[in-house]
Amino acid sequence: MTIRNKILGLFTGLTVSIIVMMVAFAYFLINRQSFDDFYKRLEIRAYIAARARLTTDEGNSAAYAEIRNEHLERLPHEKEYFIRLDTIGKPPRYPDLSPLRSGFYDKIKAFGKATYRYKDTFFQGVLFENEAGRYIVIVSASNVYGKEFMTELRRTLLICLILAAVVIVTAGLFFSRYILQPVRQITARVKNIRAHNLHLRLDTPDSDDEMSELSLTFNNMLDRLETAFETQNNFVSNASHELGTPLTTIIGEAELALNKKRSDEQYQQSLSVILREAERLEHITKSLLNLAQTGFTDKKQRLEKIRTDELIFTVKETIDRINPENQVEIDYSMLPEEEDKLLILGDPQLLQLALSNIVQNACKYSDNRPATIALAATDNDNVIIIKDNGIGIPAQDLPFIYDPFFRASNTSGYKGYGIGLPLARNIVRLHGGNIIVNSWEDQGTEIRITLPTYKRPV
Amino acid sequence: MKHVLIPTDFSIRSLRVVHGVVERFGGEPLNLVLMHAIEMPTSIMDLMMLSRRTSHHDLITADYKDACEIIKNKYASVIQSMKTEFLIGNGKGVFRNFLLYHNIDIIACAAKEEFRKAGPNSFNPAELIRKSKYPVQQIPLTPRKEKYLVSAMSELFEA
Repeated sequence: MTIRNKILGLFTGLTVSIIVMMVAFAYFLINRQSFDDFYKRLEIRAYIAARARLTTDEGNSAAYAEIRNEHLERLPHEKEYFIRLDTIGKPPRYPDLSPLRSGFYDKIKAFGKATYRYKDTFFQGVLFENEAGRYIVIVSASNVYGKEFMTELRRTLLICLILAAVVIVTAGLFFSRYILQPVRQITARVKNIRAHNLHLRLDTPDSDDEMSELSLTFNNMLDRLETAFETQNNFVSNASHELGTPLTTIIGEAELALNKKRSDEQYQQSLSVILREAERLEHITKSLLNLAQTGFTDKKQRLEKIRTDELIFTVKETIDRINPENQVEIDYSMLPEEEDKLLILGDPQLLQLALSNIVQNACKYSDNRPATIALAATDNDNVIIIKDNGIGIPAQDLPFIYDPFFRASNTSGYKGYGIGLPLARNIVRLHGGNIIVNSWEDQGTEIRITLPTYKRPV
Repeated sequence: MKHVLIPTDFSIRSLRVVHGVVERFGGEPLNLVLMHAIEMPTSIMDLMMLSRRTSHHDLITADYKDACEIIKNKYASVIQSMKTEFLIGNGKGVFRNFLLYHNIDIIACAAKEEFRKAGPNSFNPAELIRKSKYPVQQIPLTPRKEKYLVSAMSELFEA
């Protein structure tokens, strides 16, 4: 069952049942009203009949009979019964009054009047007293007009009900169609979006209803998908380019060396070029492997307790070995007094790799100008801030710095592959940490790494 | 045990006064109260909801909180407590009550004042501090060469 049919069914059911209830209530009220009215008429007739028949004064009696004959139309099946109440109180029996129970008479004696209905015959009894004695006067008649009226009413209401139901179903059809129109539009539009036209977006109407929210959500998802696709594409093209360049150099150098006989020095020179390029190739593939490995977060990790100050010290030693001219200083001014606050849980090799990548960048892109590694601890995190006075990252490049092989537009004078920072971020994320890059072009870069502090189990 | 009041504008730079305070009074345990002054709201609705309003708490940035924790961890043995409080209202009486309530012994300010309006209702409490007749310590801050990275965490570090 489609949503549309559900809406239609629900809408129709609800509205029709409300109308049916209203109609039934109206019918019931009118029915009762017409009964009351008819009993009133019978009661007046009973009193007049009693006066006409039972009054001892001849003149009065004739006057009542005259009024009755002239002004009161005979009701269909109108009958009168006069019952004289004996001292014993036993009423004589009329065959037509058989439906009446003794409760009816008791009620008349107690309250002066009573009503009763048997099928279509209505009975109204009143108590009449004069000097001749006590009488019960009963008038019975069938309410033909009322019956006709009620039948007419019933028919009208039924026709109205059917008409209303038809109108409601039609309205419901349009209503459900109208409500679900945007959904059908979205479905049709989304069906058209394939891998080759990921740039397509849904129209978002200028309102803040649920439907435009749905479109917006779809659009956001498409944005992310498109970005992921583009990153993937960029990665492949960049990777093939980066891997291709050293290979071209190696092939060119080898061809050059082989195309005629060379001196020993020339061979040596060619071989050393080939070796250098091969090493570069190895470095790139190794970094790629690292990046790929750290990308899988569900990999089992070998975690141990590490002190961040020692970690930074090791990183500083590594940098000193690779790049003896660096001016990296370690800023211990904010170290916490408690050593426990410097404990983190992690893989020392990976963390060293990440930090030395970042610190190497700091040296490289600032031409060995002074840089600092600062360490501090908040209550929950270790904070490592690496700051340099280098070329910085242009603001328009900042969103892409974590894409593998992406290099900022001002880095053309520096060697690099664009793998270090994504790798560092993967590693930091593996450890449940966070990395924030603040940078001003031509002024410097500040990278803040937070790693959660190891908490001793209590 | 000394209770020291330090006015703050929620910049990391303003927290550097703590270094000087610890240096000068580090001999005994310190209770630091970092005070940010905001004006009393003028509309009746704001006044009625004043105790429930939390909008001024949004002025406290995550960086500022982290920096407070870092400082507290650094001087863990000296700083007994370090809390951030709001002074609501610009008046001598209000300020005196605030000082009494927090049991303040000394007020410490940066020697060279660099006030930044953290929020639309913030005001510089320097005038109140001057008039309060409490002992005021001027803490000289080492000038810093970099002008960029205004709110960044590195402001905290000496280097």
